[in-house]
Amino acid sequence: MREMPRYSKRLLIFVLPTLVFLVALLIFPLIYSLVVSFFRWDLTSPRPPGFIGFRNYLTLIQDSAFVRGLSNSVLMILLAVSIELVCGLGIALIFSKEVKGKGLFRTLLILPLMTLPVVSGYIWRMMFHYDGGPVNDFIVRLGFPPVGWLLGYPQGIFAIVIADVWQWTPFVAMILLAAFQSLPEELVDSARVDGASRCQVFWHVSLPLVFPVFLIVALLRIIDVFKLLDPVFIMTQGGPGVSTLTISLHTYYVGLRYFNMGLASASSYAMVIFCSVVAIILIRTMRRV
Amino acid sequence: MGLEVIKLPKRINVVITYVLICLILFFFVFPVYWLGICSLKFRKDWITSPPQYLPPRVTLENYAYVYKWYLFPSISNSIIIASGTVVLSLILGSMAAYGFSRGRFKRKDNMMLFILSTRMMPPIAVALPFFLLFKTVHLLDNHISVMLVHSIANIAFVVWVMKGFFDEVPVEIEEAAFIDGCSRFRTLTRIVFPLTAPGMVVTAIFTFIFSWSEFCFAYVLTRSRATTLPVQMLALQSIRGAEWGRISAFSIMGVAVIFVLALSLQKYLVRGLTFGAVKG
Repeated sequence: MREMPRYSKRLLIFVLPTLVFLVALLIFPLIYSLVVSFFRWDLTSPRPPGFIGFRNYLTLIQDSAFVRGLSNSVLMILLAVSIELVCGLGIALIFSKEVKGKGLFRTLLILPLMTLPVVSGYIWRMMFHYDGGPVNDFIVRLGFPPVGWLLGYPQGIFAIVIADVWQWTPFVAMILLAAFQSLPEELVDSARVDGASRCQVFWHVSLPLVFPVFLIVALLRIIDVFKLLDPVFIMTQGGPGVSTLTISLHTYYVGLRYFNMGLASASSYAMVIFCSVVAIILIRTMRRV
Repeated sequence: MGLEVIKLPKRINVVITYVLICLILFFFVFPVYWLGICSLKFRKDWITSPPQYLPPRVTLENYAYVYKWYLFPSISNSIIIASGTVVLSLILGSMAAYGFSRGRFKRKDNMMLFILSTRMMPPIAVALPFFLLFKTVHLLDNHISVMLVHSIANIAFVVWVMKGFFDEVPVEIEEAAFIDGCSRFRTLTRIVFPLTAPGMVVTAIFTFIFSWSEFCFAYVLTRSRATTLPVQMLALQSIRGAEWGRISAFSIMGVAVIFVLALSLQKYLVRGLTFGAVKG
């Protein structure tokens, strides 16, 4: 009897090329990076690299720029992800209603998603321009003084958060929308039949059912905001000074402006560790639901 | 459907909904409008105080300038790299997804975990070692190296989405074909692939968009020969200031490709966006 597809162990063949490809191309950088992080290796100095153990990591923790970058990144994550989730939920609710032109509205909604992050950076740099930007124009017309958005802390952080919210809330909204629409009708109907009001149905039936998706989206966004580089690079370059530095940008500067490969590798590894922790949480959550 | 929370007379409900939708769309669409309108402005109108929402005079000179000096080879590089990334990640990713969907072998879950975890890696953390690696083998500023790196970053997504699509094809169909004498290869090409074609289309589009927009790796790994469009845009800003009209024109051109791709296949897009996140 020929082996049925369902139980085939030979399907490992299908997975192997991809696995080999990924492992071969990733394992080198990961190990190399780890090893380099234990060395003092400055590309600009003639000294040969020397083993210094955990010294790079210690320097990292004491480096005010790194600490600043980390705190900025965490702040951005807290602000951006919470706004995106709440607004995404609200938008999903509103856009789920049956109105004419629904398709057009949804297409328009995902417009920000289709701009490249770099373009989003340029758009918002123009929008937040002190003199000629619509944002300040709007503020001034309301009677308030203009804000130097990209010129300092904490406005710079808010500006970057707004740009990220603009670009990614549609993503959250669309996913939540699809999640709501894939809820089985019978559950809601039976709850209504049992006498629950609309509000109760939403709060006690729909929302808990959608929660797993909600959590997955939240974790994905957390990781993405942590990795954020493109818009920050375009909008503020981390400046002025280090006021809007993010951890990705800090790693970039250390590695490709100051050419301190040892420290940059240590910084990279700190990021990888953080992302792995979040990833493990994500996967545990997915398993549990 | 459990989503009407507010009980109001139907008329008012509809009006409020429309107003809210318009406000929301205004927030999301206006910046794109601003980009477009800025790309049409003359140099002296680029930054005005107050800003001109409907400029009295428009021009296409920004587009002409960008077309002449900056569009090539960056756009062809982007096309080459994105296409290569699509081919590579789709082939490898779909194969792996099929294997995960149908196969049963030891450590399947661990392997899946490993592949999915590559999505979590921060680009900059991996870009530096790749920079050093490619520098050593003299493959910097090369289409192939960027293609490889983009594929690595993207395969996890392909596997995630395609596995969902493969899971949806009932095993019975394959088993029926098997019993009728098809080899595995024929079952795949004649039956499974056509059924999952929409999934492949969606994944291809998203992969293309990802590679097209990717900045970090492209910036680190290229200099002048293989520069992609996002990286080339940086050339339009200097110490003297940014050339906003031209940057806007360049941006519109870069984004237009994606708009066209996405709009022509939008119904596949929504399905793809939601797949993998929604279990069902």
